[in-house]
Amino acid sequence: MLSRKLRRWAWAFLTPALVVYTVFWVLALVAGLGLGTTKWTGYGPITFVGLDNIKNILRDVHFWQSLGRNVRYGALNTIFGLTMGLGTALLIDRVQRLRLLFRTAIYLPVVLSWVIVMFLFRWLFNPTFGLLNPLLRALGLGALAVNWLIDMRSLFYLVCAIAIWKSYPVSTITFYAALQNVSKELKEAAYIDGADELRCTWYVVLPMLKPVAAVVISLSLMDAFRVFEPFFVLGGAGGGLGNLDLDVIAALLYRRAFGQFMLGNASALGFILFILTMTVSIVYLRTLGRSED
Amino acid sequence: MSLQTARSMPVARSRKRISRAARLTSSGLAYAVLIALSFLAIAPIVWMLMSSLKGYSEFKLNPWLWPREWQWGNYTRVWKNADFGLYFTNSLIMVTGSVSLMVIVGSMAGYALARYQFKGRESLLYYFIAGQIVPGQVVLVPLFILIRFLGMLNTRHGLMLVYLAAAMPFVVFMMQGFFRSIPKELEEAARIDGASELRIFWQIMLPLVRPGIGTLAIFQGMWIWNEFLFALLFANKPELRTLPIGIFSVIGQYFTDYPVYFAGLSVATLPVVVLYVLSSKYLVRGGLAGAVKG
Repeated sequence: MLSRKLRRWAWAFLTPALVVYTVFWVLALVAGLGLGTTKWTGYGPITFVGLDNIKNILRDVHFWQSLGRNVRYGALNTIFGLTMGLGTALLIDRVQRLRLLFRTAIYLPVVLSWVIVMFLFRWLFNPTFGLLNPLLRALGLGALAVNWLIDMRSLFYLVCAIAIWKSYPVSTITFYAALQNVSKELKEAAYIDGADELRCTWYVVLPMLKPVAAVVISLSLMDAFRVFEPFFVLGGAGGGLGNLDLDVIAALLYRRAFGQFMLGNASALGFILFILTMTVSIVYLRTLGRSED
Repeated sequence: MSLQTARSMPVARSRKRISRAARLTSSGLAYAVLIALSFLAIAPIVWMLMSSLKGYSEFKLNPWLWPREWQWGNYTRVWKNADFGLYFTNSLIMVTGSVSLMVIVGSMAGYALARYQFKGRESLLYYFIAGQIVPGQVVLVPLFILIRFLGMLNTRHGLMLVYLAAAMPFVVFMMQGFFRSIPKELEEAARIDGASELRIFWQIMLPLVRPGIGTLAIFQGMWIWNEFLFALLFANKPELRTLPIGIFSVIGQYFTDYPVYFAGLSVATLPVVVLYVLSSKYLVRGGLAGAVKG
């Protein structure tokens, strides 16, 4: 243990981070739980309503529709993140040249701002001026050309596709790093035993990637519930509140809080969001703990 | 597996020639797919940059081709008439201010957690890391009330404080990792020489972890440059807007002149792309540490 003087130094170094983090993150979280049991517009009196907010949310059709979008988006994002991420990583690991170039290029969409990406694609998909429909017609797929920005069903999947484009490279890089840790000796041993490349990948390499796959899956599942920008930005360009038919839970929360000033309802929504992500995190930590045993 | 491979052993040699040809084709296929994926990733951005340099009529005529005449005027227009100069400066101030705060506050905390043995150290580290699983949207409403209560709504320092708090889990975790890798003898020697604790931290330990801090700073800087939700809520006054908020709020007015519109998007994109390309070798590694940690 340290002398009293050194211990004091330790706490002095810690204090700024501890104070800011506790006040603006942890206390905010706790306050949100409390606020979720009240009815408040942000001004005037607060009334305590207990679990009414939760009850109202569970009866709200918009909540279930939004949650449905989170689930569909999450499923697509996880499936494509896993398959495309793994596939691309295996390919980069396989080629001898230009690895850094491929890695850098493929990862580029990840560092772009959501606002830029959505505004760019919004223009590309514009039925009158955009470029997607002419392209589809030129390819002989004119039947697929719809008014992308008005047809809500296709718009939702369009946003999902863009989100996958922007996020699958994260899985690629994660898998790629894990591939660098698969020992060369092991692969060589498999080749000496007469295994071809496909078999070596299937029986030797892939089993070793299981823990990383668990990481990738849980990260995309957590993202499935907290996703906000792609759906909000595309619907709400021009400073609006977004399109109710595109809302995911986080966007619904924003609408309730800052469009309708239902701060209690929004906080209760936040609580539900927190429970959902927490559940995924706990499952994730469990699997991680088991794989390390 | 061993059974199957044992069976295929005798034919392995005769197969070698065929498999070499097969290897070459499949290797070519691998390159083709990777080139296609790289194209898919880069093309929209290249197209945006290309379009931002065209005149309006040329853009309408051939949206796919390389610009014939480079219209740098689009950039001056968006910079001056559409307030992008202001948004750019605001973004720059937010990034510099927030990242400096994060590095100073975060490195101090990380240093304390890594180099001093005291009671409750492990639990404190977990206390910080746990914040990572709290989505920003969950604390959004209470944060808004708190910042408004403190009179910091629509101020730069209010938004910076929110960024600082939000970044602490990741930054403190990374920082303590950096400091943990330094050998113990160094600070002990300095302490015996009579250096003060502040000096040991500032002049001996901090310079040793500079590479790590650099990567972390770039990473956090890119996040803040692109950050949308907090900036939308806490600094949404015209004179404080950062680039994403400026684009989100006002670009509708310039929607009719597409090349100018794309010049605006390019102004917001180019710095982060250039920074990314220059540091990609390190960033991909740093980003990974964050991804794996969750």
